Amino acid sequence: MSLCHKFQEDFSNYIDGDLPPQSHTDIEQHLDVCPECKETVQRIQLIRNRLHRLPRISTSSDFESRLRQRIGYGSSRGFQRSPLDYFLAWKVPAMGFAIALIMVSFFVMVDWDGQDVKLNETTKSSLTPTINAPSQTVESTPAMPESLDKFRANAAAKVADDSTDHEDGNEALKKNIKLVNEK
Amino acid sequence: MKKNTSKTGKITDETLIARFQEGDVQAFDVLVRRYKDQLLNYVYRFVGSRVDAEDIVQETFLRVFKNKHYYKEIAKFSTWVYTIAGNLAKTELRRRKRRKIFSVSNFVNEERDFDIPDSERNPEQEVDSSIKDSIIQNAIDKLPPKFKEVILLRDVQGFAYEEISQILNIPLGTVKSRVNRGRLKLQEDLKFLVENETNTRG
Repeated sequence: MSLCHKFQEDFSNYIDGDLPPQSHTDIEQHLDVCPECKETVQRIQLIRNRLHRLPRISTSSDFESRLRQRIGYGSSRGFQRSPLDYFLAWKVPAMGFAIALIMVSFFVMVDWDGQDVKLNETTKSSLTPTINAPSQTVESTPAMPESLDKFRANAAAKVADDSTDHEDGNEALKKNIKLVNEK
Repeated sequence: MKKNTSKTGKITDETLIARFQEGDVQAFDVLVRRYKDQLLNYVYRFVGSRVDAEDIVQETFLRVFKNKHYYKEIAKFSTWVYTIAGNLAKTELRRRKRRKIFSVSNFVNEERDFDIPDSERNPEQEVDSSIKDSIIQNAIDKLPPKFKEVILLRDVQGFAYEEISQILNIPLGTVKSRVNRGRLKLQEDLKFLVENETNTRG
């Protein structure tokens, strides 16, 4: 980076008087020996002053009335609450309440027509088996050990029978062997 | 104790916005009158079109009105309102870029038009003050938005570096660096204008 570029980085701070004294002096000494940088600084100062003096414009005469319209106010007195705000603040909740009231009234009228009785009966008939089923299961549960014992007893008897059969079979086999030997 | 009035005895912006937040819409009226012209000048220099600038300033106040409770007293009201206006102006520039609408065509048709300097113009030609202003505006238009916004806030609107840092939400060092680069770019683009002015004076 050339010396000029290095000083250029601080030109704004120099012009605005934001540099520490030593840096300020360094730039001034450079500007004394570098006409190009001196011209640049002068041009920046001239343009800065020119920018600050640029002609000012004003908003059009209907600016505020158009703004009121955009916000939703028609009042010439100023930006007061718009009809929309009133509508949102009062009418919308009021309408909601009215709708809720109509719905409640509708259900009350349905009850008066006896629709609820039919509904209850249907509900009962559909619910009864569902409710009874578990109680049956619960009642059958204590019988389980009994039937198990019975099953075990039967099984033991069968095993005993089977063992008897095996014993009979063994004896018959012994007899057959004896007969074969004798022959 | 918090001050409700400035040294000049004027009710402060912060007091007005606080009153507006509590439902005093007349306080909003006062803020609009206080800021409408200075915001218009800022946005006008930003987008180069008076019509668009007025629309943007209207939109700025509309947002202030609708979002009044988003303002917190940790920042100055001016910082808040300039941030909104600047963001809307940048959005407008991006929108134009997308639609490839060249802003020059806008201000040619306006009441207060800028004359666009001819690139073939002889720099030695005598120029009057309004043409010089339009040339300067043209140079501002050519600046990249990040340099343009700091130049406008610093050299046109006269904000302090710290305030610009708050408005744009960028570090102080970045603000200073961008102002310096923006100024260097402008003096380069407006070299012939300044030389002409110096010669005329001489």
